Amino acid sequence: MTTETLPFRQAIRHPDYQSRLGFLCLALLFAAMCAAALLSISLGAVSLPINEIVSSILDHADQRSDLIVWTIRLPRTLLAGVIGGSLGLSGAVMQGLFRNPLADPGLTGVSAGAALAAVVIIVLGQNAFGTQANDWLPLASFCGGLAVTVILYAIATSGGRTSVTRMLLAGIAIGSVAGAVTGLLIFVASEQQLREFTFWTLGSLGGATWYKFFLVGAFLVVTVPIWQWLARSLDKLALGETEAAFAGLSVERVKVAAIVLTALLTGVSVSVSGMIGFVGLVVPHVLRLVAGPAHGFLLPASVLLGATLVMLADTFSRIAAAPAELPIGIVTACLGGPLFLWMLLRDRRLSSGLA
Amino acid sequence: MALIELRDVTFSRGARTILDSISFEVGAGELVAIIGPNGAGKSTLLAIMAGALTAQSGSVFFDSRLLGSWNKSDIALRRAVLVQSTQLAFPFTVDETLRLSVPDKARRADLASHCNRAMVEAGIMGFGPRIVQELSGGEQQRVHLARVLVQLWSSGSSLPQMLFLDEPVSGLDLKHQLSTMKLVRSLVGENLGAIAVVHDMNLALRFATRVICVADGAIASDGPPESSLTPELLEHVFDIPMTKFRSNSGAQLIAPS
Repeated sequence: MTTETLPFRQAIRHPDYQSRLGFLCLALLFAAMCAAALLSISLGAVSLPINEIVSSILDHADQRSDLIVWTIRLPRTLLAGVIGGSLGLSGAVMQGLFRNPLADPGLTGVSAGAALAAVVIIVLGQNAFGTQANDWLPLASFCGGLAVTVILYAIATSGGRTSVTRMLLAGIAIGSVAGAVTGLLIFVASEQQLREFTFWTLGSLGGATWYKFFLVGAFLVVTVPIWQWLARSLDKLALGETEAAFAGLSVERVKVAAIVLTALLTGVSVSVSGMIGFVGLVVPHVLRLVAGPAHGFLLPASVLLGATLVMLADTFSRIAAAPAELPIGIVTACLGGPLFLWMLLRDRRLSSGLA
Repeated sequence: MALIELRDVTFSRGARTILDSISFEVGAGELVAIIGPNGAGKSTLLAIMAGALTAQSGSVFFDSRLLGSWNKSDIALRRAVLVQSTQLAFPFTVDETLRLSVPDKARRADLASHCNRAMVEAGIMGFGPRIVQELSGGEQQRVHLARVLVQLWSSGSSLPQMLFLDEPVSGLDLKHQLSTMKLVRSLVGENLGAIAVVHDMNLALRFATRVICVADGAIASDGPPESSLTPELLEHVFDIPMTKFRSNSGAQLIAPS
């Protein structure tokens, strides 16, 4: 339409260039993610040069580096990637659903419910069944997250309509109750149980296995068609529920799909890595500032940037205090908290959107 | 042929009856202005016709089919609704916003030209890359008017369509009040009917093909503007003395006396 050169931030949102530039951006994000993955595999207690990693992945050249790459680093890096992708996606979908840029699985109590279930197993389960109770941790925390979502939905829905405000407020209430019960259980927990519990509240990818990677990755991949469909619907939902319905959207169906999707992704993520905060909040934010709020771009980009960020955070948590490991939740919170505050102060529109 | 038809529609909230046994029909080619005092039930009436509210008794038909039996995405091809104020949750540009209401079933082929035409008609040419929330209230209202026009035009439907407007000119300056009403009037034809809630009786008098006056949940008058909007009726409905007179240019005007 126009031949003049547009600044990038306008061009990527211009109807004539949007799809091509969006695709280019996704390709760049993908490249960044691959770079972060290589870095994450290469750094750690033992540093591996890139060429050694490549030769190990391709033809299993050296036994020592083979061991490090295939049994330690690779599953962990890949797990960090799919966890980060799930968290970024859940955040983006939940913000679209609640029509609020500050919504986050942490905010609606889903993560808290998942963590509570984990603590119940650690403290009560171990007392009753010994340490083999820990095998049930992932399943339990997944069920905890799902249970909170179902309760939330039941409270917020009446007469076939879901009130987002009620859901958000109920989520805060449920989150604090779950937090209190968790606190109570911590109070009666033993030393060893306390240490284990740190893993759930601050998050860690230390227990990464191929099985965990495939579990989380499968959920992420299987839900691809759902979030593709959700993208256009969430755009419409930005008009408001009534207006979206006027524009032909089946609002209730979108809500159910978005709720189930975020519960699944959050529950599964928390169940294998504990609570990793701020990824779901910050990632979609940054992307919206750069490329606008259209979900067709935002959702896949959130997966890629979320993956990149968690892989980098995990790498940092491994090398910052080596040979000890920092909980990754501390790293993401240290990064995300100030970044988030800065964005709040920078962008007044965003804070007025809270009302 | 009636596009929308109301039969004995009654709506109440709690013990309060907001609309009491309302019946009328509107077809393509009509621009119906709904006027009446605050709280008379105008917006409720519009919401019922648009399908956002369901009446406790009576029935609403769209194109001879019960409104409730329409699929949301099918009816979005046939009717569009402009509400009093739309609050976008995220900072979309005008270009993006115009495309938000385009139904999934719509044809994408001529979307760009529809958007262009809507921007010209709504007087927001060149606003494309701007963020909607950063525009003034009146400009935002025109963006959303353009958006619902794009929804109708992009549907590719050759069947008659309906446009519902809830106070489309309330936030606009005089120039844009006139241009908006003129635009809606010019679009109304054999394939489009429109129903607009308006407060300004003189706009109703000048642009509407028919005026329905709602008072206390009932229809106080229904007919062509000149015969429907009489000083006697308005005095009764608004409870203030009114005069009707002709301006120097010969246009009919109504004002409190």
